[in-house]
Amino acid sequence: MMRHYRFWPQTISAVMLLAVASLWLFTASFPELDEIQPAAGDAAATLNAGNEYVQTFTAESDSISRIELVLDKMDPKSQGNMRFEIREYKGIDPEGSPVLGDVLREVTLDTGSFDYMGGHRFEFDPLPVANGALYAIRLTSDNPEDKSIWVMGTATNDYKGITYKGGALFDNGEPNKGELYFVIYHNTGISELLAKIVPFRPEPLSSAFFFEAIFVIGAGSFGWLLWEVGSGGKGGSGGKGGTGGKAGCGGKAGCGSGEKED
Amino acid sequence: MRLRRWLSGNRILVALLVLTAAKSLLWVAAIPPWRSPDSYLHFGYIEFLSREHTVPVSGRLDHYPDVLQSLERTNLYGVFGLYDTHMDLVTPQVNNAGGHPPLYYTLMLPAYWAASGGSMETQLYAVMLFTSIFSLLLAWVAYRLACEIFPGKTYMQAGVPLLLIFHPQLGFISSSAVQDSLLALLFTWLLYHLAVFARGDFSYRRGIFIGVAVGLGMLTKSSFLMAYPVGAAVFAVMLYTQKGRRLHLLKVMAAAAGISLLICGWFYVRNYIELGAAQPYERTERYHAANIWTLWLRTSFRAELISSFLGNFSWLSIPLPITELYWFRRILQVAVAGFVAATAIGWWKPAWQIMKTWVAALLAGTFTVFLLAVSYFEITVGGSQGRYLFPAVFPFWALLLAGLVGWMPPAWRPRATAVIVTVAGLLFTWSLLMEFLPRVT
Repeated sequence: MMRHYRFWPQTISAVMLLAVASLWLFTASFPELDEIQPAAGDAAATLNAGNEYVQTFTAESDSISRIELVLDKMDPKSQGNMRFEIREYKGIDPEGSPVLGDVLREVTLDTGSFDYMGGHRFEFDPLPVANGALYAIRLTSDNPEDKSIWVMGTATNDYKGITYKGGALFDNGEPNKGELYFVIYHNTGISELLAKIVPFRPEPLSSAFFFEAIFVIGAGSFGWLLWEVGSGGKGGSGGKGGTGGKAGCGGKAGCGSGEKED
Repeated sequence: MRLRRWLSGNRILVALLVLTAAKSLLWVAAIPPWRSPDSYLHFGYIEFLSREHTVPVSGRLDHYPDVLQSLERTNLYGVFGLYDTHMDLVTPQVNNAGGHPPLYYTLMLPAYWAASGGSMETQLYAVMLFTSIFSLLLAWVAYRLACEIFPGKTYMQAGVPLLLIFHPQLGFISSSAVQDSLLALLFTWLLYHLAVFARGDFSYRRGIFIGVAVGLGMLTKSSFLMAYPVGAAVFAVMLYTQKGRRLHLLKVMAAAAGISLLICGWFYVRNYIELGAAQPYERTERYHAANIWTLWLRTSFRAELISSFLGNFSWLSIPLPITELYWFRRILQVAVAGFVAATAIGWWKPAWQIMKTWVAALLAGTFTVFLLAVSYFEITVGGSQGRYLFPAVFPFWALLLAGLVGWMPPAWRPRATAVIVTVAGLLFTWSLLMEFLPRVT
């Protein structure tokens, strides 16, 4: 039996989700990568209560909102706290150690919250910085030495020119040959983010408008489907398989089996 | 009128296809040139087919200088953070993709040729767009399969394809110049035919479809080999239960196996003649585990398999933060417990049963076979990744959704599914816009 398909609830759901997605897309703040110092080889800094690491870096934009490090633990079950700071960098003292200024941002990480190697984000309120100026990441921990935190570093040799040119790593004030693996982000809007997808892509893939339009079309179709799923497909089918109110499978195998809808 | 009627009768399918197309286009636009697993190796294979009109032999396919020039031009290694991004265009370098079967690459030739007037990057994007067609077909087949095995349950019929659509790593890989999406499509198509077969269609036609699916899969990637034990198990159960039709079933089984070998056998025989092995591999050692149990219980293999299944492949894909991966692990644990509870409730109260026992056995058995295969591959060859589970991506998401909603009263399930797919949609959006795009440089 043919049943009329109720069009409006799904359409309203689609339009609502499309509107919400559009509003979010054009007002949200997105992280954008400024700088990555990649990992190479298996070099790692071991961080515990007996030492501190300072990694200086050059700011590549006007603000910083997130810094990412890769961490692991010597003992997967160990508990402790790791303290992450961004500090002013004042220069090098006569002994060759870095001189740090005020703490600009700080984050404490519960190191009991992970048990295998992975990326950790240290996120904070956007920190205004001077583009091109030097700053420092300072890492400390209260873990005992036999339960050290491993902070992923880069190779101590100059593998494929990987040595960081914008700063240096210090272990308890002593210069270290390697660097930490780190990724630095600032917050931005969707237009600035999409500006990066232009190179090498043919039209219309390189168009920000195309990307945004496809995103909201996708959100609309999901909104439409969401109503179908949430209502149990009670929109009525009109399909030839006699689905009796089940969502439209068009009478294909399985859909018209006459089994009761949950 | 006919079209309107078809659209009305297939409205969920049409909406799923629109959503899949949108997802695929977003990924294609977002992925920078060569920024997916070994895409320049796979593209080199297509280039070889176009130029040489023959299938390469493993170890005897070299990189073309123009592909390497494009890597340099598009600053692939600069993206890794290397300051020295110069490519050696003179010394011959072996393209390791040369060992793969040729189906995916042959199917990409029209896209490659269609964009031949443009730059190499334009040709790459044409291939990526063309690869996305497999995502559309996967959504289609997944929906049909869900209709087949979850009759009357709209939330499962639409929910499982939605979870596939929102799978971050599957979206990323399926819009790249990589054959994994074709593999996932063909295995899901095989499962569809096995499900129809298990429901009583023992025709030769069904057997031929099964054979074609297996043959094409084996001609896409040798990891499709798992189709044989899965198919054999279904046939074995049918032989056991259909006592009066055993001879006919054996003939259908022979037809399926024969057709599959007819389609793909030549490639593996040729490898054996040329190289002394049906599929040569280079061994790599990562976990130093002597057996599967050590690998699963004493190393980080399990955690890394889960994370690389969901999102992480390398820094170049979607390196989801560890907290989100822990949440995914917790959801998996809830789903496993929920599935056990749903099965028990289904026995006690048949009206609440989320899926028939044979469906649960087919899905859980298939996923288990792939888990064991990926583990065995890690022990014997090495280099397993979560995407090697993609052929079993339908069973994974179907079992997960069933585990999350199957223990609830039936009236709650549609709304609970709506919440789950919304969370999946948010994860997808967040992965693409907050994790992947910010790293595009």
